[in-house]
Amino acid sequence: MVLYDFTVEGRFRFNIMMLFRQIKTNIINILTTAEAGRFQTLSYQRQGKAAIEFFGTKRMVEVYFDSGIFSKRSAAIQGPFEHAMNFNIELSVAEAAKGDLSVLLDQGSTPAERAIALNNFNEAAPLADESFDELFEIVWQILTDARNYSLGLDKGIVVDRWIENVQKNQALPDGEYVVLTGSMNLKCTAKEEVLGDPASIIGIDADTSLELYSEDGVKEPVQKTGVTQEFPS
Amino acid sequence: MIIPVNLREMVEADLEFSLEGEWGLPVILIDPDGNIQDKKKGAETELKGQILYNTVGLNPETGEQVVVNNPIVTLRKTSLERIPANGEKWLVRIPIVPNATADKEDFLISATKPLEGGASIGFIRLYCRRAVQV
Repeated sequence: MVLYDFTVEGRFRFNIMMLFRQIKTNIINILTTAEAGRFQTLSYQRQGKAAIEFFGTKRMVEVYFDSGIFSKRSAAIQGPFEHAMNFNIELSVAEAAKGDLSVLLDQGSTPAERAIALNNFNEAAPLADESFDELFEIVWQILTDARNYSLGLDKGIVVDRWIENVQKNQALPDGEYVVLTGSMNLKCTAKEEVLGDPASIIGIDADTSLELYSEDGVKEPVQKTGVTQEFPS
Repeated sequence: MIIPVNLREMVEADLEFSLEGEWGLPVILIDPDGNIQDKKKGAETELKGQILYNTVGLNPETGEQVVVNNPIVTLRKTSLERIPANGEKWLVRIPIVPNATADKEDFLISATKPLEGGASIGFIRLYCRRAVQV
């Protein structure tokens, strides 16, 4: 009887989602963890929203996968494929005029006091502009933090990560609020494994050492194969 | 006997019915000098005006639909002690729903949308921006 002692050294990944989906989920988790009551994070695009839903500190950050580019490799049949991913991050803020209403509504206040309170009211448009800038800064700092370089994955999986641009749209002055929207995008690159559908085969490269023992227990010379092994899921 | 009628005066007089009559809702104004106007000029009756509420807006940059409450208050000029001018800060208190006895909400006249209403049409239209306690 020949005994075999088979060891495999290599890196295994038994996920069933492509990396772009994992990264999107991780970006949302990173932002959600850092909210601290300053904004809210959504994992999809809202098609229509009421201004009051993102008024003040409820300003909205919507994260979604926008596009990706796969580099062509002449030797690539079963992957992995380099995936340059683009995530869109939509920012929405809404503001109202802010001031000391208590003086204005106080029956005992004088016209002079009311005049001062009214004059000190802050208009909604500059407040919305400032709120947007602040929100962009917060999100930018969170996502470009060195601690989040790997975007929640193991070190080395995400090759690079940067925020390419930010765009602020025109403020909407209609209605009781001023609404200001904009977007920023985060790009990163990682290698996508070909998992199949349903995911059944994970191809890995591994160095294999096959130790053979003869029937009388004598160990045969070690044979290294160094070929790709396929493992059923 | 034919009595000459000034049609422009008649149109302006009709505003008493169209804006302040059965469709009118109470409005309270606080002008930049802090003076409160809650009575019709020269009368002891409530100051009233026409109030329109909701609008569905469209973000012209993205085409995204944004729903906003968009109160528009239309007042007869001759009922006002002082007429709002562009650039001034006025507080406007109006019912939250079209009911004279409903709770009131506070708004500032929008600084980003000019007032509508020239001298020839007899009324002024105020676009309101929500005011909140800082």
